[in-house]
Amino acid sequence: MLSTTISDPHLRKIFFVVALSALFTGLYIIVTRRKIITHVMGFLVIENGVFVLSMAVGNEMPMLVNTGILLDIFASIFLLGIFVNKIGDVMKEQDVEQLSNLKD
Amino acid sequence: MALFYSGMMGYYLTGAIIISIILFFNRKIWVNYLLSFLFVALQWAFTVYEYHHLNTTELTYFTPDSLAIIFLVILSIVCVPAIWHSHIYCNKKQDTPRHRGIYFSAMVVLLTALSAAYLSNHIAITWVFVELTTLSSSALIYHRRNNRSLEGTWKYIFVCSISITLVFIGILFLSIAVQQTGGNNLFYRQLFDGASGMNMLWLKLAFLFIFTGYTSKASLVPMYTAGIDAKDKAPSPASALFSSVLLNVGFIGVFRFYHIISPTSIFPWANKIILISGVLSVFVSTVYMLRVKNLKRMFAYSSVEHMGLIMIGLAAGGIGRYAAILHLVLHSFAKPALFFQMGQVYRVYKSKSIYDLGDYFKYNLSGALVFLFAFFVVTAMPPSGMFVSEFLIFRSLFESGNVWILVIVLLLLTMIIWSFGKNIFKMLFIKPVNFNDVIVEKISPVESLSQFVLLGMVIYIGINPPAELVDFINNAISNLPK
Repeated sequence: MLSTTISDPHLRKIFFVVALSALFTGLYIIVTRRKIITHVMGFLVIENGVFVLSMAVGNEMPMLVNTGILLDIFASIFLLGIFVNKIGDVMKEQDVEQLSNLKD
Repeated sequence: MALFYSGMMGYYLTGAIIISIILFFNRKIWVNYLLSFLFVALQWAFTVYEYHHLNTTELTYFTPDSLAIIFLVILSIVCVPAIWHSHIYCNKKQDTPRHRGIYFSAMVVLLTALSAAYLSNHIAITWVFVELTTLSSSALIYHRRNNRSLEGTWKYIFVCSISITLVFIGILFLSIAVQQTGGNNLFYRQLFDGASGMNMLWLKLAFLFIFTGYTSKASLVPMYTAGIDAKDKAPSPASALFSSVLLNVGFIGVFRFYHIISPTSIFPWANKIILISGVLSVFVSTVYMLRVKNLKRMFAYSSVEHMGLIMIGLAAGGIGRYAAILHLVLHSFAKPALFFQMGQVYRVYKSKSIYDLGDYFKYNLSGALVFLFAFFVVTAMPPSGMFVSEFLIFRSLFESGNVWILVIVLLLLTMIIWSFGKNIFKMLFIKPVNFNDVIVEKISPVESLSQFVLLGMVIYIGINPPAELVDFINNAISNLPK
């Protein structure tokens, strides 16, 4: 329905719709699941959605900017991986219920 | 080699990267001192150079405009005590050389990324450096390496990564809007010029996404949660940076886009969104401050309140915009003082809970004076410069006809001052229960010196703002419609 309502010559609709559904799937996975590693997967689904969205837009950024973005996303996934491991070392079950000590 | 033909920016970035790499691998303490001193010198040289080269683009992507210079100067001032207190912190805690190296390396990367994000003139370059601040601050938050700091780090990095992804989606929507005007580059200047020809639907979507994303950095309502845990769990000098210069980067992200859409027809709508977010921030921080028991978290919520006021001032327009930026400047000097002092409180009582603290005058006279002084400054009582800026924000709310919002905000502020005062005075004057004061650490008054200087600056700038600062602020808001 969305693809019929939006008419824009600069937008590739099929990519756009796939991207939006990937975004919402990712957010849904993060909100509903309890395991930490699944949260990271949800984050990756969102990142993939963003990639498809950039295909839909079809506007290229300068090479230097793209390199920066790539490095940043690489580093953030890398760090998330490190911290998932640390949480795995400290806690027996990788469950977000255990991450609720910080409160007022 | 083209890096070095275009001014100081190239030297600064390469120098800072080299310093942070050596800090990371270095294990000797005197090298650590030397390198952090070198970095401060480099930061100051860079700031002075950019101050004298206003509006000259370097390396294509960096232009020091007036707003960037204001924030760069603030950063250079705040980073000196932050690095000094970090050394005190690491010495007291007897950190292993490895942890110390990681800490200082991450701090240098954080400060560099912040400077570059202020100066960037391309929306995606700002994004890159803001993401870099998330990554480097996660290393700072994890410094204590226990379960709770792990939890804080995880929440911070996850929430911030997602919000920064939202900003990126906003940038993609913006690039759809840009294509309709025929252009395809995303420099702020071109975006500002072409904004009125863009499709308003895409521009609205882009604003919503970018605003929501940057609120995680600016501690505003939708995404403020991660920042609170981060400021609570990070070492105090790092929290001082998070609640001053890191808030400024969130503000600059929002403000640049706000500036782009200011000539378009959706400007009043954007003002409404910002106003709602600001009022909700003040409300949420009031609710939490009335029941918070951890003093450091209370200071973090106080930042949420001040950012809310700043956004209200920005949205109200008129004199409020000037007051908003002035308030941001003053807040970035006042809040680090509180956080630096909080580090000393923790060393005395080994606790941050208000139940364990008390009678601070007896244990650390100069520190207690800092708190007393900071209470008047942060709650904006008259000698404080924040009184001036808050007064102007309220005036602009009155002039723009939002009297009911003014009434609500004033009521909320009264409650905030009450709970702030209740906790601070409890800590200063009432005897703590079950506190064994036989082995209390003596804290040298010299360590409170930087806090007095910062708080004194808040009062001085508020009462007698330097002409350059006024010019820079007026210049930064000069393109916005009346």
